Amino acid sequence: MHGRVTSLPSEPPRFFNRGPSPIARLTFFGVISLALMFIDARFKTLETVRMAIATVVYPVQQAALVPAQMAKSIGEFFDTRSELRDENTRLKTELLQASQAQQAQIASKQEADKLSKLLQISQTPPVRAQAARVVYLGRDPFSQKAFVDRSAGQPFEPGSAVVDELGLLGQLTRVHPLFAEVTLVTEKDFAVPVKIERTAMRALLYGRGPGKLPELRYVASNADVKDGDVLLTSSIDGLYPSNIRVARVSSVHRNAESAFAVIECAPTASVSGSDAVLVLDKPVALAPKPAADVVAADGTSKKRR
Amino acid sequence: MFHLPDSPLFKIARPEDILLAPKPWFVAITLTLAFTINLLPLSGFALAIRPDFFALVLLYWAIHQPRWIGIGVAWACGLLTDVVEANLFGQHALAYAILGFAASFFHRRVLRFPLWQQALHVLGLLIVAQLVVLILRLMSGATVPTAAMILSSVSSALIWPVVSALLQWPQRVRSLLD
Repeated sequence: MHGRVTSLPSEPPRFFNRGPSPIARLTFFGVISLALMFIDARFKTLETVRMAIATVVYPVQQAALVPAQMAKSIGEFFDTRSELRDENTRLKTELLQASQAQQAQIASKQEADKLSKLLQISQTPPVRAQAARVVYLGRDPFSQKAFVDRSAGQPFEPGSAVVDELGLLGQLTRVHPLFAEVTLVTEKDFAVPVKIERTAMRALLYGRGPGKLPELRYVASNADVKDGDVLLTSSIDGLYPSNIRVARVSSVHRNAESAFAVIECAPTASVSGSDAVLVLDKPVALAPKPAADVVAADGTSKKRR
Repeated sequence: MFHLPDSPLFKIARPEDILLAPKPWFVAITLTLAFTINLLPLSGFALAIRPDFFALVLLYWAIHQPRWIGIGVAWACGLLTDVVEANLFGQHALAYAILGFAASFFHRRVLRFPLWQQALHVLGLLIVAQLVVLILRLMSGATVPTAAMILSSVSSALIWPVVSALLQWPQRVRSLLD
């Protein structure tokens, strides 16, 4: 019989020149991919390429949204009158409460302005807000992103705070011509400088990635933090306007072996369900730091993408 | 395993059948369509079990038309995915290039198997591609996702027979008309 059985060659004999071998091509594209990843992570010089591709792909993205929008508008068409009336009543009540709260706030603001004039503290000007609509949430299982639309002429700026009606949603990280990316507060290692409303103690809130609640880090075990405490932005980084709600403390664990308490916080903004959002301008730049400690002067660098 | 409707239109080509060559525009349109389906705004569980249609259709054409859809095209498609998912450039590009390479390596062999065994091959390839992305993400500092991530590869492999039947459809229609 046959001496040995040879397997079929996986590549045909090279009668025709078909260019480089698959393994050579794979190596070539693999090296390019790794180089791109390195450049993108370290130097951020590929943003124009990314923006160009994203703008070309945008119509396809819009097309993908059409079925969901149609389903929604059909659903809205069948909303009953009583549902609409209920919603109308609820909104009126909320408006009434909001306007009353605002009147109280106007009075206290005037008072505060007078006092700070007396004390000659620089006053915080009102922050401009631009409305935007959440188009879709990120599909990447590793990161927490949302995408908002942007009409022409809306001067979005990377780094601006994004809020919904309940609190801070995240931060604009990339601004494309027709849409913008929002990194949500739950993104891993996304840091927000906060203060506790009740005690005015300052701390840092760190996101921990999908499926986990953000936590307050580096808070001493004996610090005065309770369940239900509300966290507001402290605006200590000059990025977020001050006093925006961020999260509510949901659990505090104190461990005798550790110097720090483990404090989990639930974001107040509906991170997975917001529809309409506001993009807030950055507060007016603070006076530059004295030259002695310029090391920490770059406020934006600690944010991950 | 799968019972597709018993009509000549849905009969999958046996290994010895010779199909008509697909039209280049049909390849382009199906790839665009798969890319669009991937962009549907899903979230939560629906997102977790959503098959990666783009990778699946890419793999189909890389196996059936390796002259047209090779490693380079797969790489470019991965780059598109990276842009729309706002990822670090190059991770899906690398994963899809590996898919393209595996297809060019296996395409003679895979088509000899019945569809459900082809689906097993596809499952293996897609899991390798997901592992590549996972490793790259972990190196760039992401948290480890839950094992549910693998669901999308499983569902992709499960619909491979259907995708194969659909993508072969125009080629068979023309051969039936002749």
